[in-house]
Amino acid sequence: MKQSVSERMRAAWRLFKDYSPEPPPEDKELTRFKWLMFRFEARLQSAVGAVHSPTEIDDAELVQRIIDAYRISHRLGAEDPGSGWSNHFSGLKASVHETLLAGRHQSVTDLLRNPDKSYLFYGFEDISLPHPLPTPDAKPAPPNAALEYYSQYFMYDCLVRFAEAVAAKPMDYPAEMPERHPPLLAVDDLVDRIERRVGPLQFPTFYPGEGGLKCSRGIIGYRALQALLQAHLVKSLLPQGASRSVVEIGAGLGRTAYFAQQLTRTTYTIVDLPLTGAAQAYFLGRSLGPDRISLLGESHAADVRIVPPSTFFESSQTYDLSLNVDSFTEMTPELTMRYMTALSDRSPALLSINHEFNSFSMRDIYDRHPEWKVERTPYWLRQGYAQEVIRFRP
Amino acid sequence: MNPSLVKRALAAWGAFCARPPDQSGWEANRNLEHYRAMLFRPPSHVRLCELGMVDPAPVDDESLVKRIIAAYQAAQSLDPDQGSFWSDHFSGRKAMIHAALVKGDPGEVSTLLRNPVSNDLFYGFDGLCIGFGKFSDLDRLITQEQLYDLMARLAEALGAVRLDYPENIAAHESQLPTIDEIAGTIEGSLGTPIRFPNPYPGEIGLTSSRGTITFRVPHAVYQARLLTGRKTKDVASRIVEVGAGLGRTAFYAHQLGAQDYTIVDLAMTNVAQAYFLGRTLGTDAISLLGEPQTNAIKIMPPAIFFAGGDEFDVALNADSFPEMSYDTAAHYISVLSDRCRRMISINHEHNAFTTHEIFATRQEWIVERHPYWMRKGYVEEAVYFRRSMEPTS
Repeated sequence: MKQSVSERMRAAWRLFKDYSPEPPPEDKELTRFKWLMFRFEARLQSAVGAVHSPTEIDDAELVQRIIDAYRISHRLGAEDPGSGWSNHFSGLKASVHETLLAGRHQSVTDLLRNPDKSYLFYGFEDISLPHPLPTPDAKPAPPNAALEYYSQYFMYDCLVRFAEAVAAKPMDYPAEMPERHPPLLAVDDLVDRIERRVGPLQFPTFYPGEGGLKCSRGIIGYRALQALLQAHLVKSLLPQGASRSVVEIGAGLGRTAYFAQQLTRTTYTIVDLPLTGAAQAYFLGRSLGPDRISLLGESHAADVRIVPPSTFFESSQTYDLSLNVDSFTEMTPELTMRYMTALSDRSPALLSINHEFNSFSMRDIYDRHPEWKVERTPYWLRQGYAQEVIRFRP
Repeated sequence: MNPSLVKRALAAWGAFCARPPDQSGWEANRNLEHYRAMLFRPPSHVRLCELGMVDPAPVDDESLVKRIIAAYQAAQSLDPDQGSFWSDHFSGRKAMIHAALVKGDPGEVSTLLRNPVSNDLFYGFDGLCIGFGKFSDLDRLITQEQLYDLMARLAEALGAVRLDYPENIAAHESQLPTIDEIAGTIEGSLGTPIRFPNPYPGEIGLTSSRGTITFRVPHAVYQARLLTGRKTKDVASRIVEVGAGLGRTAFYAHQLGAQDYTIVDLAMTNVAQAYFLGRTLGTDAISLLGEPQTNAIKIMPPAIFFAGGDEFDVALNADSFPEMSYDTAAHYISVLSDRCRRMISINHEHNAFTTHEIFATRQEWIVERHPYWMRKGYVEEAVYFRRSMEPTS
């Protein structure tokens, strides 16, 4: 199973403290790390921030709704046996499942407020207990130092790339020697430019230990940048009109749904495993407001609806756009094909952002359907990922 | 380059390749680090394949050269080069070629066209010009890595192989394909045999069973596929390329089925394009200035294009508009917007203005912006001038 970027960052920390532009060739970990970034030079212009003291909030009602929805999903047997996530992480997340199912309010509140103390986010976010199975020569990484490295080198590169993606600044030109590159921009300058392209931004951060680039709008984490660009792409692909709907299959923490609400008005359905749905519900309930989400078993209309796969498959609701990021190629081919069949019936197009390292790629799926039209481009923000717009009814 | 010079160059190249490279200090070399920053994969995922120098057989090109001379002389009565970076900056380098073309001696012109390493005809748009081929050991390594990386990237871009995935360690320990294996997967994806024509002596690239692969080749194949579409029925019926280098994209677009391809470029560059395409596709594949425009590839200077009213399905500009003045580039784009349904721009953003800035002046145009698959620092933008061609239609 692949390691996440953040795991790689943390595992490689002991090499980074001696980083120099001309590393010795035997530093294989360091050499690999450079290939995750979009520019080689350590071009730093950022201060690093981390949330350590979240403010007191009243989340009691939200937590109870999450408990209720989770119990309903369990009663319905909504866990999805065809997903790689449920298979790989079921053991790791067993205690999280038990906590949610038991439904003791304070325990669940602690779980949802403090993801750094459990495996709730493991596999889709960077805040989590470290994996309990160390690599043979692994040493515990100092978390704050790793965070500092991670933020400075990696997130700034990602932020600059984001600005390039939305034409908020010209693209860097690596053929030119570094001394002839234009001066680096400060984080707030970059965000100012990005806002002029995409609109006003806020970056919600309320989890202890969550780190990123400090700016006047909050702390910008790696996942937030990914989600913001995905929301921008969603907006650009949606048809003009007042009533527009999106469905996202496998949505991580729900950050893309959050930014989609910032950038455009849309009704947004998240389809994910119940355990991940609990994390999404808490994040979106806290960041958008509890009234703007609807959970399993709830009937009120809301901007964002969170449902398990079984509910999605039983429904016949249609959408203007479907989205899948870093997820379909982690499932079994059969389950992915089942989703694709449903989406091709219920949505005119799919935006897929996935790597191609696992046993099958999205191309393997859509090549079976010559009637679908596909635009395949490199994904702006992550090396090794293809961005594919699949139009089911061109 | 006369025949004896070619022999000497080939002998020197052979001796160079035969001895082991001096690798001392390479890893700390700033140039190596700089060039490697432009690769799409770590050096550990690049196979070092054999480099070769081209030594083509003699040809009879007299009739082609006479046509090229006639077209160039016809172009001199026009004023095609206003406002262009190329005409301003490179006219001195190309004065000798201009004089030979105006004089019109087919033998003299033929010698220049056959041997671009003896002059600067290609300067600014292709590697073959005076001084090419003086390789250091480091140049050899960089060229090997760069060309293999580009061919692998082309295969990835076409979906012929999976994308390299730098986040996983195992990806770097897998068996690396040979250059012929990569070319085979590309061929399979394109659905047609692919070849790498090498009409020029002294050209250096990766040796393959389909010809020697040089830097511009993978770019041209990718751009040709972009223009002609993924499926046979998608082949755009009328294509125009503004600023076309040596005409390699036109070559591959023709291989992929394009039957109406117009190249618009400076008269001097038209000379290089006409010779390359005439030699590689055949003289009856091209129509030059002053000739009936009935063949598949029309090659013309800007004045003729601007004076005409032909419409096109798609326009391409690769690595060119930001090299012009803003006004010249904006004028081209304005004319193209009237005469094309969509345009593809593949350009860097390091000069005084970007093509995106020009596109952004018209709110009604739909612009899709992506990283260019084949070259870091370049943006690929698809511009839909008319709503009937919007991607969602």
